[in-house]
Amino acid sequence: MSGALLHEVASARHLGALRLWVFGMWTLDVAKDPLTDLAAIPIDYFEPVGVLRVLPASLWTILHTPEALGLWWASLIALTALAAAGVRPYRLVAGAACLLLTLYQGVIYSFAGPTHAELAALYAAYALAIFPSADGLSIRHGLGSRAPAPVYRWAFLTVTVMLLSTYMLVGVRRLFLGGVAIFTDGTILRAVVDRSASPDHLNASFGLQVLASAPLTGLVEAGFVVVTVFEVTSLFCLVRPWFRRAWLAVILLFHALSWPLMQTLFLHNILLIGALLVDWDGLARWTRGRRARPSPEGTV
Amino acid sequence: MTTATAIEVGADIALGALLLWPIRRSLVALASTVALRYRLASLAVLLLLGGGQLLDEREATFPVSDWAMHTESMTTDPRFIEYTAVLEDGREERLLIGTLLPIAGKRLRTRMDQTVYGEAFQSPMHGSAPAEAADDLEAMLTGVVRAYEARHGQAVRAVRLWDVTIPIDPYTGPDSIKRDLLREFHVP
Repeated sequence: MSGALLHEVASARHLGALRLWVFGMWTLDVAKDPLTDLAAIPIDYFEPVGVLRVLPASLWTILHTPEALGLWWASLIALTALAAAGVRPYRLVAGAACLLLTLYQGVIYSFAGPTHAELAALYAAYALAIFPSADGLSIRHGLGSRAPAPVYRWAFLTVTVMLLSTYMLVGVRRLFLGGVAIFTDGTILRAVVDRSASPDHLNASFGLQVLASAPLTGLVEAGFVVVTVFEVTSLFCLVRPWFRRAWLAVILLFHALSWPLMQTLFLHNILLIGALLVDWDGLARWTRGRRARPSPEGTV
Repeated sequence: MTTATAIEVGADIALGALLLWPIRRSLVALASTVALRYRLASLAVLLLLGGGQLLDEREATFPVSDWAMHTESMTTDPRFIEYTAVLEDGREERLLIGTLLPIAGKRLRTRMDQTVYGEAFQSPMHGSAPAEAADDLEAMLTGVVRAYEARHGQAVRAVRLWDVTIPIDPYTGPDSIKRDLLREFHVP
């Protein structure tokens, strides 16, 4: 058995790149859709979730104006961008960005109902606010002392284990609640038809095309089983590189197909997977090796 | 929290330990070189995940959440509400709620469906919705219409709500899809 860990060479620079990636991703995500759009939704749709319940109800009525939402939106974009850049005092800036992001997600969930789609990315932001992720690739670079090298590897592993665990929890819960029946009673086909035909993002109902084709129907039902097996065993990605590559192929295909088949895109997770489970250093070494190797004819 | 979820979370922990068993020495060696506060931070992240799964009450515990997807059998035909815009020239176009109000996305459409139908599509209101819910829905649809008009540059005369059922066992083509008009809102 190999004792080598994924992210064995992770450094302050690597963790800085992850910070830039995660907070940068949040900056673009928040900037993409103005928070002011929520002003168009009646306040009666607002049912505060979780920590938002401890705040007075009158606060939400005050905030539910284009002006207040606009101010909040601008503050959030600025704070997440500053956290991405790693400006000092980093923990304060990143911590404030995380709190505002939590309220941001919370207010959206309060209007539309909660989901876990963005939570792994939110937790990753919290982890990066706690660990010394501004020691590298930041505009405060060179100032202050650096943490011991293992801390960066530990931080990377923490975020990776967190992300992989979310998949494992989903898979295990499906087995506990759905049993074997959920894989054999046509549930996934009904879900695909329902979610691809409903009026959300796409006019083409790809689920109906699946339903009309026996081979595609079989593929979707078999794919549901395969995805669940990989979800349940996600943490094994940290142990075996071949399994990690297989996991990437299966889970990324699942996420890619979720858009046409269910009008759902786990974009935050896809971006986190790209940052945490693709061996970019190994790929770079492999690419450099191929370039440096002379061709059989002796030409470069 | 129920006994079943406690057993399930116990299984999660056991499975996690089993899967990471081959690299346990490397993990322990690395952990021993890291300050206690960072080890506690990592533990807190894992407790957050396990605690969310154990409590299983995401609406009450956000940002702590349960992690579940496709866990309950769907045995009835897919059914949802189709929202269409009747344009000034009489054409009828689908209102893609997730695209028109992307910040709340498709989940907002589900919330709207529940306003029309009640939870779980069990008791269709068919025009007998409480006045307050009907007012909210009308205000919501007005917001959707404004977004549609801004995006497409075409005025909307009315919004129609269709009750759509897709028989899938067996599915015999698009003609078998059942569409019943539930109600029509005239845009002020």
